[in-house]
Amino acid sequence: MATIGCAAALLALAGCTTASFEIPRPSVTASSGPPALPTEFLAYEPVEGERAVGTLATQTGINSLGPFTVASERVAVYVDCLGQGTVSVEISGVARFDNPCYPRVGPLGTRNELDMRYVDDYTVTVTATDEQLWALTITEPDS
Amino acid sequence: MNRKYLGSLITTALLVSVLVSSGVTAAQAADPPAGDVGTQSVCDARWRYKTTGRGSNTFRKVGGEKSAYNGTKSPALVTFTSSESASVGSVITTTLNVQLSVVLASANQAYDLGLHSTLSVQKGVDIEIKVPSKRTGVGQYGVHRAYIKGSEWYENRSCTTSKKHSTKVYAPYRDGWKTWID
Repeated sequence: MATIGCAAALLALAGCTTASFEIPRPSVTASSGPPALPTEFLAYEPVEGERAVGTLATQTGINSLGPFTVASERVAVYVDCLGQGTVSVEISGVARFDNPCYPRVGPLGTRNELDMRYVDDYTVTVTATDEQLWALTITEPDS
Repeated sequence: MNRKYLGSLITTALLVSVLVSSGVTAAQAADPPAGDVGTQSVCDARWRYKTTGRGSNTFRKVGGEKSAYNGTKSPALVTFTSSESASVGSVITTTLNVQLSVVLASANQAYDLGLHSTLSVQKGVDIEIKVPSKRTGVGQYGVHRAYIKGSEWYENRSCTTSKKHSTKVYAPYRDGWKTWID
């Protein structure tokens, strides 16, 4: 609440249901094989307070964005993945993480924000299988 | 990585209490404006809502800050792992007469965000960062909330409408690390 800086109000989820649901698993039949991946998988679209550096949508397998010359002290890496397991995300010279994939679309993506002051340029590489559909957006947040 | 998300859907019975500085409660604000009697029933008398835009995301910390000093003469890789589970709910900072689920459904339709009222994250989320020599790497895990701008108004049975007022809802939708070098 403090980060919002609004003294006017507070949400009280009193009585909020604790019922939760498991992420649904895709139904797969022996005869039909795995469900087909969507033909389109959108990447995160930046909102006010950040500028897009690069975007990849509807990806499978391995692909990269960059190299980019560092123009901001920080970048945010948004990754979404549809499928099973995890995909590997590497920001060269800066960081690496495994991003989970889920059998349905969001709110299941990640946003990882990194300090870029100690590199001159960078490339973001996502390593996935052909059965994992992913999307990537790199942004520069306002400081 | 040991991580699993759980989402909680708000039920229709959910009681959302919104406290505002004026002292007006959600229940008080939900009273229909005057002029909703004695007219022919053409419209369903009810509050209506429309998503009008998005604003800057906010970040809710989950667990404490992690740090690691690299005392060597070379850059070192450091792994931070989130150590707490949490359920992060939505935040409403204005009067809201429609149910939160109405706002989230509208925002999802407009922006395809897949928002839910609550996002649960579990410990064990890793990130590996490179820390320069003689420097400290720092990381904070948490959940990002999407800021949903909206407009709300009351429509009475004669289909006339009240003045619209703006709404602000912050709904959790992504997790991740913020890392930096000190």
